Amino acid sequence: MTTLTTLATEVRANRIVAGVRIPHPVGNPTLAPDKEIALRVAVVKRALEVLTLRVDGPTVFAVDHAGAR
Amino acid sequence: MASASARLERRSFEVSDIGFGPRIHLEGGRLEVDRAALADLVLRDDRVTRCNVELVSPGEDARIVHICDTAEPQWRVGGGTFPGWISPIRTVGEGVTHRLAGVGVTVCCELPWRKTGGIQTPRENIAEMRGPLAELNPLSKLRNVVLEIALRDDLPDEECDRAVHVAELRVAEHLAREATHGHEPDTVQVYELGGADPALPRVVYICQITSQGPYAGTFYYGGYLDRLMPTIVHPNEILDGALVDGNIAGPWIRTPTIVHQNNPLITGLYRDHGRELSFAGMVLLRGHYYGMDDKYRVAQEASKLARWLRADGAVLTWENAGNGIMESLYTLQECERLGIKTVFLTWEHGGALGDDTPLQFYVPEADAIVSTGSMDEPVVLPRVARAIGGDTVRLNPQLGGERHAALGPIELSWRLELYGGAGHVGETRYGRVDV
Repeated sequence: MTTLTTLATEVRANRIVAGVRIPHPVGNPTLAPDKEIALRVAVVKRALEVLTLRVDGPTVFAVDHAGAR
Repeated sequence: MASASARLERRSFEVSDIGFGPRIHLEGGRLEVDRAALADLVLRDDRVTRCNVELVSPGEDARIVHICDTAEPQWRVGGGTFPGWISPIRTVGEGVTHRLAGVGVTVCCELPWRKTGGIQTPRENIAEMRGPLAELNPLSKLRNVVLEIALRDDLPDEECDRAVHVAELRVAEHLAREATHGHEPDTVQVYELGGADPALPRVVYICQITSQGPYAGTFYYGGYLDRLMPTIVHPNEILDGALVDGNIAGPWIRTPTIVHQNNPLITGLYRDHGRELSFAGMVLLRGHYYGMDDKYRVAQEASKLARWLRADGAVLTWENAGNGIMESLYTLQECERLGIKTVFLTWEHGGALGDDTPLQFYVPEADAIVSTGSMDEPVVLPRVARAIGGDTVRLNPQLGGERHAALGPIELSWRLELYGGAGHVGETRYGRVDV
């Protein structure tokens, strides 16, 4: 899980989940606490989900965090 | 109806020699500077406790340390020099401005380390005056008036940040005014957009700066640009002192004020205006936002403004390091999608041996890139006969700091401390410098 997806691709990570903020790839401390929890859960759930998918080389997965911003 | 066109007449007074004298005086290319009077001018600000003036010329066996910034002496004949600092905030870029060409006013100060390791740490800024590394900084070709100052130790960081620039800009304005008032310039250059053959391709300059608070800021009319949405500016404003650089935290990866005042992409696009291209204007944006949403937002806005300027092509530069490159490359990507061919100017990482990843981020649309060289190669600064700005240098704030004699030799594990080395707008040289 990272915002620097090109670097992750270059080191050949197979499954790359696009992060939210540079210093907080799996969160956003500017949000209200309940919103932030929802965002963190969405990103981590997405990461667990893509572990179940077959990929052919480095693949970047977006996360739908609409509503958590 | 008011004219939309801004006409800036820059009158250049060439300086090829500098020395102390009883008063400020320019004759036959020699600038004389009154040492005590300049120090008194700086000390009028009660935040400054000490000021000593030194002069340094190209080729001297010397090194300048503790650099905070450098400004070219400029004086707007109609008033309003360095707006937001020593003049009221009024738009510049129109009218008549005198400049002392070949002179830089550099302010040096050992700033407090209160946030060691963070991005707002004022790092050691070093400029070599001789040797191959001299090529990397703008001072080695200038006659330098160096202000060695100390500040009151009870000042908050924001006040320190302002005080060093006020000292520098006061002296820069004073020198230009006193030396050129009532005199005829060596050359006159007029900068004005418009009037080009409509068949010529329209080229926009997209300039990304960085601004993240004290010691890591860029000032626009005296204020931090930290929350700037991309905006259209007139390139004349930049030549005429609207931007002041405060990125003391990033010596290699900064654009000193004198470089903004003489941005070679602005003067180069003007040179070709009406011949090979039509210089269609300039977009200013800030990079290095933390949130991905902010990065997408400014990239959309900057490319949209380039489109509104009816750009066929764009020249894109950035400033700073790390994820700041993302705003630039997202902007480039969106420009290309809009049909605006965009060329990108950047420095590289590449590691100590030059075999590592050069850019932290890239997009496939970035297919026209000009490199200004690498920061990552280690270097040893040789022993010199004279150090200006301070007796010691402070390195490695993240380890609590270590001091070395400013006279050297100084071992640098990479080139971050070399002032202005990245050559963000192509002001120094292209390619690598071997030592």
